[in-house]
Amino acid sequence: MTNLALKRPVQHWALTLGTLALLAATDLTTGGLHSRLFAHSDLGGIPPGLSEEYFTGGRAGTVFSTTSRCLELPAPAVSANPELLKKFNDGEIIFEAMYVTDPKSKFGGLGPVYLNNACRNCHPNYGRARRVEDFNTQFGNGYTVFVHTPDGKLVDGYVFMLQTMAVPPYVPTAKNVKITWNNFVDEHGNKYADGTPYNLGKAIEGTLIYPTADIVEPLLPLPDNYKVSLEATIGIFGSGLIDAIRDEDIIAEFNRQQAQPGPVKGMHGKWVEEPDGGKRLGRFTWHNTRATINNGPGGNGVWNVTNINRADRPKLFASQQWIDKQGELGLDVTPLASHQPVEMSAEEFDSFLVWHRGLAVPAARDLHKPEVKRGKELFFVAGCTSCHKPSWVTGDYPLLPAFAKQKIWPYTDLLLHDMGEINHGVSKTFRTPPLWARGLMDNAVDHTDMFHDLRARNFEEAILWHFGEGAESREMFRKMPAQDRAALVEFLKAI
Amino acid sequence: MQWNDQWNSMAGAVWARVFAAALIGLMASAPAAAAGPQTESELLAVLAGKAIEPGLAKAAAASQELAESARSLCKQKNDEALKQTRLAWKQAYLAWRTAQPMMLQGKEYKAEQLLEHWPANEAVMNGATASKELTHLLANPDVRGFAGAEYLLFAPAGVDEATTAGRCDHLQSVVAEIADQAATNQLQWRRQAPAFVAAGDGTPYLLPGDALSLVFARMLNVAERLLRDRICAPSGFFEGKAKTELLEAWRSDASRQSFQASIDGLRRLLLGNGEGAVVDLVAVKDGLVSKRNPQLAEDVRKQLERIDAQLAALKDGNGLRKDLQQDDKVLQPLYKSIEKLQKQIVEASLSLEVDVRGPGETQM
Amino acid sequence: MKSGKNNKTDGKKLLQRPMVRIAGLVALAGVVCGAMLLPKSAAVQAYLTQRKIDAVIADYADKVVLHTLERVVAKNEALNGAVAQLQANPTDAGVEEAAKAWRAARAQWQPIQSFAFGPAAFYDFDKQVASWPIDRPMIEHSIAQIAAGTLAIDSGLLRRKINSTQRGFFTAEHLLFRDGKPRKAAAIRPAELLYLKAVTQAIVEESLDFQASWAGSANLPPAAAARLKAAQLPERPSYAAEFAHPGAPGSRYFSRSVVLQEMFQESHTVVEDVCPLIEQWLGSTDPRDSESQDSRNAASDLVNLLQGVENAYLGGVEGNRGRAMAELVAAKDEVIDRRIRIALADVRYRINAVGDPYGEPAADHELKVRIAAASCWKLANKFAAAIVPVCMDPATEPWAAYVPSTAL
Repeated sequence: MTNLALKRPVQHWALTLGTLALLAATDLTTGGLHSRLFAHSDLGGIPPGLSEEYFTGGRAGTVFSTTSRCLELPAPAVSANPELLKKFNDGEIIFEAMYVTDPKSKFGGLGPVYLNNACRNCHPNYGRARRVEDFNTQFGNGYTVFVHTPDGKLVDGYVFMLQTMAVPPYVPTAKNVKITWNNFVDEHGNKYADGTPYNLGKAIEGTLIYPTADIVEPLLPLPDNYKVSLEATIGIFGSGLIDAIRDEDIIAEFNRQQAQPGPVKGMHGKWVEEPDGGKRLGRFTWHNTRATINNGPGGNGVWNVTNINRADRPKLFASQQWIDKQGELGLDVTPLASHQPVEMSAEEFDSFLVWHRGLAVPAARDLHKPEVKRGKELFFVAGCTSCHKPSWVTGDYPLLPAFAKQKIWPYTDLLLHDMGEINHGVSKTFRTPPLWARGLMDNAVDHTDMFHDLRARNFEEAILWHFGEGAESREMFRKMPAQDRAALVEFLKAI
Repeated sequence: MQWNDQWNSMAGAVWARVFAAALIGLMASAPAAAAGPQTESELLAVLAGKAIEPGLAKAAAASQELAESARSLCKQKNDEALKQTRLAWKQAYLAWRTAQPMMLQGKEYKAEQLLEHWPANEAVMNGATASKELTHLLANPDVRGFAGAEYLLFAPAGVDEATTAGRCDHLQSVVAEIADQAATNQLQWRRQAPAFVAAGDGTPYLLPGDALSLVFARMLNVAERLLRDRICAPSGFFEGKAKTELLEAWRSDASRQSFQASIDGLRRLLLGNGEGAVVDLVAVKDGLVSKRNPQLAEDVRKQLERIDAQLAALKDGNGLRKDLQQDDKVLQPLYKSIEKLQKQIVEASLSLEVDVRGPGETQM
Repeated sequence: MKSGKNNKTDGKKLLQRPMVRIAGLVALAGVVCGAMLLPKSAAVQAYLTQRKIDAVIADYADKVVLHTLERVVAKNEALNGAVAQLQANPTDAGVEEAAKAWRAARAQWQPIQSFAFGPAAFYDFDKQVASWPIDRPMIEHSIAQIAAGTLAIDSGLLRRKINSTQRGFFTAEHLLFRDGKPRKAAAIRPAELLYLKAVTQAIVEESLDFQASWAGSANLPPAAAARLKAAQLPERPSYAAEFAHPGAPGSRYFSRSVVLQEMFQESHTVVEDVCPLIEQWLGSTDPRDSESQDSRNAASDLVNLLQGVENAYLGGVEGNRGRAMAELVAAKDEVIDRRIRIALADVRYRINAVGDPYGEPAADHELKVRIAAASCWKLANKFAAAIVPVCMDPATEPWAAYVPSTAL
């Protein structure tokens, strides 16, 4: 500790050990350096006078980092607590691990039917998936695939995450998914009101694209009117803070929207029955189907994607129809039907949840720049805030008490909105996704692919895909002069 | 005293083992006693046996002397007793200063707590020794330790003033604490000494260098305090106005001697006392990256001599204080020389590739 | 005394005299040196620091990253070549050659961890080339299919269709080694050799992709670019160009501080990760507690990870070093820099001193492992202490993106 009153720079020489909390003590429980920990701490000493908007995750949930590691850092609430930090580091191992089918191996137990063998494959560098042409792409392809009828119901036997991988001799539900990228031209000929084409000056000038998908070698019968829809992953950071938002506050926002004039009428997610018997309001996934981190997309995904079983997830994630089909093919279904061996302990899963909810949100940037300020103005004027509600204050959160009463800036109302027929996948209503840290996608994952199926290749396109309840705002954007459009994009990159 | 004898006999048995080990170590590895330590383990043995143990023993003995003198003083209450006690205080204080760099577990040894806090808090001292309601204030560190004892012994004009009931009670409490602590320090060291000398066997020191690291850290720590608190602070950081009240031990005419004692303590560790010490190993040992550095050994020797000469040129006690009042830069040359010595100690640690934790480094 | 009207001529004559000119030059030198010694203003200091950082970053990209990746590709090609030879002529000597080439390629791979940020983080090159654990039953299944003639394997199929846990260094290791030694040629089935060849070919292609991601596909030698194209790998822009120009328009790095953060924090992470592995891997007599189980390459793996840290810190591989992170640290605190250098040498020395964990254990084996781990933690501490002063130096503009919104 430097005593500033003394002029001589004090050298400590073990006199006093002023600690700069830089070390995250690692305690790997595996033999693999690959399950490694990048829990760099941020470097502290935040400059004074920053407005609350910089603290996207509140004081307890924000880190000031823009490196390629910025999405994987522990929140201050976690790094301040050595016990939590250790669990965070242990949980990160689960996320980073490559799972294998060999039951005797470390990280063994993958399958017998599955989607992918590592969380990180679909959440590249802890961020959102990339647009791909080949569904077999291992690293960065974060599509989950729905096989459904036009009313949104899943076709019998096809679970909500199409499984294209199986451990021999078993046969997966489908061999592959064929993705086709199609051109789209809107009613204005893909031009702004001022006549300039979308994506001006780029190789993709004047174009918009969207994917369609089809199933390759399906194992189970399909009705004639089946459809195959894609949805992609988003980053995991900030999920703990969203978990800490009170149900009643989301309902209040829902009520407010119902009462207000105009096209925006968000619908809240379903009430989900939680393992503890209580009901919580859905606010995770593209359709608000999950309500809490404990029983959320991550915790379930870790089982759904890999079929790595836990005591609380003892069954095989597979449809009865699939199991029956394996029997029809002459394969032994006893291992499929019975309770599966436990492949992940409760302790490991608990650490995983600590990691999941403890990931920090990187701070906003450049809020002082005139262009960004102008963009913020426009964000309000164009009605974006109708759905992209800028901020919330979290409620009490016993799972991580420091996350309570934090003012956070996710820019989402956590409600479902009709995005128009052109966006109709398994449904045409989608949760407003959070906009925080979008500007760091490039830093962390080297792309800016957005929207539920990654049809938007950049911010401009993401706005241009807003149909349905978002159409009015889309039109306002289209009618803005180029300078204003650019400013709005700069704002989106800054938050 | 009986308890002292018991401790001594227990410690003596332990000490005999340490001494034997050190002796065997020295005899086994050193071709000639005059060649100095050739390995880190040899250096540890020399430091333990020839510097640390004698240093702490002397401080313990002198502190015991002080406690006994104070007891006599408060019984006899005559000028001769006061004179004796004042002398005993000086000897104890200087012995502690010499031993200060050898108190490797600084905080545990209460080295800083008992050696610092200059000046003693006069107001509290005078008030609390005179009034029963305020005696609880006598627990404060700034009216205890050597600074407190010095004030009690040297500030009063005569023996009557020095031996009032309140003052005698407090004096005896203060010097008893000093004596107890000195004895504890010695005992604690004797308990730790075998592990220190055997460093490298993993119980608990994984490497001899880990034990040496403590020595270096302590030397640098003491040097830093000397520079910052004991020279800079009274000099007002050479910015134009000295704060002479912060000058240690001026009442007892022991300020300069106190600096010298600290330097002597460092010297004992760096140069030894005929049998070699740190710099001798620096002169002969090659590391993985660093080469032996006999030049540095020589430089350290010269630097210590330079410091001695500068100290000899200074007045002591009140004389030094008055000089400081006139010229706040009186101690600046000394400061610069000791700072250079400190840098040389750092260089020695680099040369021996002994790890010393610096600012901003956390505990392993 | 000369008269006035002759002064100019006399002046000229004066300057022609050698001693005067020398004296003049000396005086000029004195002025320049004096200027250099004068305390510099903060702005000048910042400027000089920034120039130094620019040089360090440029050399880091060039001599640490690009140079390492060149050698990675070369060693992987050598491995691929040795496997091709083995396939053509399956002899014990051939297996030994391939095994040796594997160890060399593995040793060359480990240092990349020091720059596992950026492209390696985006595209998981380490997981592509060195996934761990490997999926032995699935590998065996593929080999059985090859043997039965129902699977035609090549590197493209491996990379595009088959999980990375069924290829890469550890798969190659499993096919080449048993119990720390090269396998006997007779024990290796032809189908295994086919699979192995596809694996090493895929390693070459993926490491070329890694190289391209930093160098830029356009900047690769024509032969390498052609191989990438043939392997249908994407064109990559040069990350090094962006990395070396923080703050430039379009750069992901808004200031030098962020670049330094990447460099320093990655190295620090590598060290932090290695420390517990020392006890885990070298403190165990069971090779299955480490990654390189079949080749028992654990100690080498660890030493080479730290070698990567040392290369990064000192500005490149020995014999080809440029401006270095070490300089930036030394400018802040010379002592920490020297301690880091000592610690880097020490931890390597201590790991090597542990010896073979799987042989006859020495009496002090456990102590040696503890010493090596402790040495590693010391290095980690030193690195941590160096990060903040360097990366948060105001001259590096660490807060340039975080300005109060009320500021103009």
